[in-house]
Amino acid sequence: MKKLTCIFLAVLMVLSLAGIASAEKTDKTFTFTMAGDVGDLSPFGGDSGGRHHTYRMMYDCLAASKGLGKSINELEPQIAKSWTVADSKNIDVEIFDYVKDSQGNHITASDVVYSYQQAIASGTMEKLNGYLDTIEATGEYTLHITLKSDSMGAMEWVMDTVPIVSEAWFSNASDADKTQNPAVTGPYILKETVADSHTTLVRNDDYWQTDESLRAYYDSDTFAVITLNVARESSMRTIALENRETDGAQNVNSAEVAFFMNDPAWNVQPVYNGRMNVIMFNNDNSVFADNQALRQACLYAIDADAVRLGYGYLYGAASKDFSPAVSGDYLEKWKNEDYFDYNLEKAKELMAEAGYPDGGIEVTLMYQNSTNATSGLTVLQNNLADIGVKVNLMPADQALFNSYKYDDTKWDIIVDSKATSDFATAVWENCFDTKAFTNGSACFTHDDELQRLLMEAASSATHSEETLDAFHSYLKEKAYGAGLFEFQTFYVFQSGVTETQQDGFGNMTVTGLTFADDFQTLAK
Amino acid sequence: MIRYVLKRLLLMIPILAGVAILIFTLMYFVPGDPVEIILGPAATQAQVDTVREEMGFNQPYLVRLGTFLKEILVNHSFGNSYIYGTSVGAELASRFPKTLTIAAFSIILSTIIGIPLGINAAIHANKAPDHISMFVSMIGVSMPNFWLALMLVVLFALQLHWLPSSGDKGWNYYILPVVANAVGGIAGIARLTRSSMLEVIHADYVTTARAKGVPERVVIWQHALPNALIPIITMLGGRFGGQLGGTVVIEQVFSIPGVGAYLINAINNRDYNAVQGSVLYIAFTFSVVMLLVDLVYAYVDPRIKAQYEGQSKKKRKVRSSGKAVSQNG
Amino acid sequence: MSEHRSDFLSVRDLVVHYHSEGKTVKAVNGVSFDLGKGETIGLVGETGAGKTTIAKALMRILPVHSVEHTEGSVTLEGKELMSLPEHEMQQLRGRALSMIFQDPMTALNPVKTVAEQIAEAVRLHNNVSRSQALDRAKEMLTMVGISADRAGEYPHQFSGGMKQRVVIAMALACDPQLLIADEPTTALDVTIQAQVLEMINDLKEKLSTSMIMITHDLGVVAETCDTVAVTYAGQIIEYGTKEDIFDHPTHPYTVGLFNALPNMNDNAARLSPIDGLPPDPTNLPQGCAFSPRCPYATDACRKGVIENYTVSGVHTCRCIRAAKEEV
Repeated sequence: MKKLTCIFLAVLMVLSLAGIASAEKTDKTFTFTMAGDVGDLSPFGGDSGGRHHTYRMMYDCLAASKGLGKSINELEPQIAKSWTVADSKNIDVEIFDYVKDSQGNHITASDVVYSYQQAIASGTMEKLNGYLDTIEATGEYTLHITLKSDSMGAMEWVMDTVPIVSEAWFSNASDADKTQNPAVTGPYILKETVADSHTTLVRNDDYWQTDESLRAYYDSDTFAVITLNVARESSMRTIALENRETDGAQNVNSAEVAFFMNDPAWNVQPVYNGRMNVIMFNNDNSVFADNQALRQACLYAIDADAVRLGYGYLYGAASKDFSPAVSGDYLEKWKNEDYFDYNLEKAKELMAEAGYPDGGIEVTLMYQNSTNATSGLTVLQNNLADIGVKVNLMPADQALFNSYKYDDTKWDIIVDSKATSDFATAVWENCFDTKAFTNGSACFTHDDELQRLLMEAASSATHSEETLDAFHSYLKEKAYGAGLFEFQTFYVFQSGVTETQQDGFGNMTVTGLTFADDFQTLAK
Repeated sequence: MIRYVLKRLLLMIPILAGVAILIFTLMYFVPGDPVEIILGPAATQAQVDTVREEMGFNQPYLVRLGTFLKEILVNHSFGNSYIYGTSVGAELASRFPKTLTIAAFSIILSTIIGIPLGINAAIHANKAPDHISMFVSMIGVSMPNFWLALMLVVLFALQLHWLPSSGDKGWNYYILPVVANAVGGIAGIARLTRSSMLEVIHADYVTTARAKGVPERVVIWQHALPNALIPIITMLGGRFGGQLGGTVVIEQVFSIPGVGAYLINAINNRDYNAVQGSVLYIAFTFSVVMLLVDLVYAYVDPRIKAQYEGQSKKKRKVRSSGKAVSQNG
Repeated sequence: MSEHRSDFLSVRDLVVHYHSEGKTVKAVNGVSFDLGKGETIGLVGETGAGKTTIAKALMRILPVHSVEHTEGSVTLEGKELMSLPEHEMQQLRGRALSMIFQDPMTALNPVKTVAEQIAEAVRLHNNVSRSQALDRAKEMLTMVGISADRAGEYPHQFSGGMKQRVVIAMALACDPQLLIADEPTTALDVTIQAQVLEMINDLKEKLSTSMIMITHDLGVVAETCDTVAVTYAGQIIEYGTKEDIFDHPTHPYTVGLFNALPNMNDNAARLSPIDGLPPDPTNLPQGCAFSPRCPYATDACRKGVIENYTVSGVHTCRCIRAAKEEV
């Protein structure tokens, strides 16, 4: 009896180990519908939402971030086998010695250095350029990285966003090769991509990381073929789901998501993907300059939840800081504070204090044009009308918005969308770090105290609850700008997707999902 | 006739040159550029300024114009897209057939339905069939085509499962886009056919044909219609040429990677190379279509053909002196 | 006119009313006449008298949607045309009876060659091949004095006179028994006019075609017609042989027509037109339609239906004065 039990347990163990160790190489396929185009899939192509969903399946970086706001010790190894943080600006990295790309080129530390140099030379990774000082190979499979900045998230950014490619391939590849037929270090090879239509990825059967226990979550290769379809119209994405033409869709309209929510055939995933809307005042060249009471009055007059609903985001919340609540360093206590919570009485008091007891101000509000935004900001316009502030809405298309937002003659109030992949300080720096702007900041502030507090909070050396709270409170008091609201976006997957995983940008990549054993694609 | 065609082809060159300079200048003056879109919304002003300088967007107008023209004339290329990194020319070449498919088939469909509708209305002018035909075509033109597209998808894809909802992976993916696009054109064609036919139906030569004993159907289709065709051809030509520039709404709704979607996104992204290349391509195809339309006129109406040839004939007449030229009397 | 004078063409009590802008236009109000084989009748009258309507009524090519009402009988060689089914009528048009229209500039289809248009008529009524029809077309062109190598040319390449010849060729291509010529020379200048009339006469004799010659020009009548019917306000108000009408015009209107002709030998400083204007066909006067303009009108003229009185032989006149002169 005991012998039988032993044998039985042994067999069970072997089977379960086999189960863990082998992500079966099946013939299964997966179809995913995206809201936008993948854009440029060459290793260092320009940014886009679609690219974010795709390129990490094709290219491995040194490390991978399994979720938002991960610190350096929480990253998963990819091409880097291990790393040692010497101090806040120095890190030593050792890479695997058997890395190769899909065309068979062997990857060494010098290829890694080359990749980083090319990334910066491409001009599309300016943020990297702001963080990275030097990178050099210290051995065939070891390197040393020095950072320019010790901001929170800098080291992580440098480790987990740069695709690694082979110098031998990249230096000889034509432009067409780089975009249509790149040699990849990830588990999927690009078979074809047709802009505005679809992208097809095919499993790389020769993927270098043969030891599956060492793979990062991005590198699972359950599917033989992954097809990414583009459907820009949100109703077309919903139809694709209903019509069973796809296994999952991104960014399903919150008004239509109810259809899928109570249906066991579908797995609805609401996500806060680190994106939020902020409102800022023109603090140098408008009626808001030098009038803190006026700025605060306006913020109290705005019913952020109503504005959010006006935008059509049925699920979400008003902001409590100038950063999204999913940030890794977001303080819990902020969630219970009064952060310009809608209070018309207080707003009117403050208006009197500001010197405008009966209102009588006219201002221009600029925002990036979309039907959602216009609806939502009409609510805001009404709110401010209640305290006598007449708002002229000025919608601008994306490119125009981008060029006008740094021009202090163009707007008095701006509503913009901000995001972070890791820390609140990233958003703060992005808007308020004087060093990055020619006119003070994104809202034209010239406040040395603000800058000092920002630097203290952002530097990984002094990053702490106290410094974070100090900046948060100071900014709140000054009311130069404030977070407006966050909202959930919805991914809808068929029920064969059992678990989902947000990556470091808040997106859900197909390879990060977990599937039932009997998963079958819906698409024909 | 050959001389006429050659002359028209030569005329296209200054037209295209003018279009090239015009579109370049327009894009130059439009505020905004692709830099921040390439870098992403998290880019700071400093980063954007650096890259803008690197990409040469701060250079003076003439320098940039010169680079652009050189790229076309010397390298025979429209350059690469700033957003996709791919060659603009290659992208247009692969998208053109899809746009062409949609444009051609929807024109054919609009014509097959619109012309008989218009003829029917003209024959029974001011009576019930006329009112019905005009009413039906009015409905067609009143429906916004994106709404119609979605309704067709809901019916044929979602409810009946007869057709796929979006994409371009096979011939059946084109059915709904073509239908949605064709409906709007039916009204215009029907109305124009109706008015053109009404003029022609009362013409004397139609009465002559009847007096010869020609059956009514033949009178309408072989005697009246060919004479009514000239304005209809003009309209069809203009419409087809315009649609070759891309049926943006249809392409967006059905996710068909055509020229329209490419151009619209390029404009939003200020993807200069893609916009310039696309506009020049559209100018070229439109000119070619207009030339073809003019040649069709000559085929349909011999008086127009004579006009085209007359210009060269006149010169010949003058040269051969002493020849009795009179064809009249 | 109560007996059939001949067996060829017989029109009895033809009535055609149009509607236009809510009113009824009484274009033809009881027209009757006969025509013998090989004869030519001239239908004379001012513009608007209803002559073209009579012609189109015979051919049954009146515009279907404007016609309110037609009545009467038309017998061609014993066959009643008014009640014939359309497809049978189509077979007769162009073959048994054909028509030449007034304006040659617009009578031909601009996008077809002249040979094609003639050949079409031939093929419709004869079982021949395309090339045989084209040969016949070329024959007809030659017959009307147009060189056969111009067969492949388009109407716009011909002058007015040549176009009219083509029209005539087209009308005669199938040897019709009855030819209706609606003011065939009105749009042409005088020298061409003479040529065309001569040609029509030649062909008529060669092919023994009967003809209805519609015209307002008495000179044309003199050249080509055997009998004459003078029309006014949709009725035939005087009928007779050419000699009857020219030598003994009876109806005051007919008299007025002849008086209105300029006379080269006269030293008159002014022309003498007929006073007044033709009546409004939507609002015809009671009794005799000419009474408002007639110098001899009496009360009796303004009442009731005016009978058609025989003057002598076949010469008839729809006037009370004619009755008084009746022997």
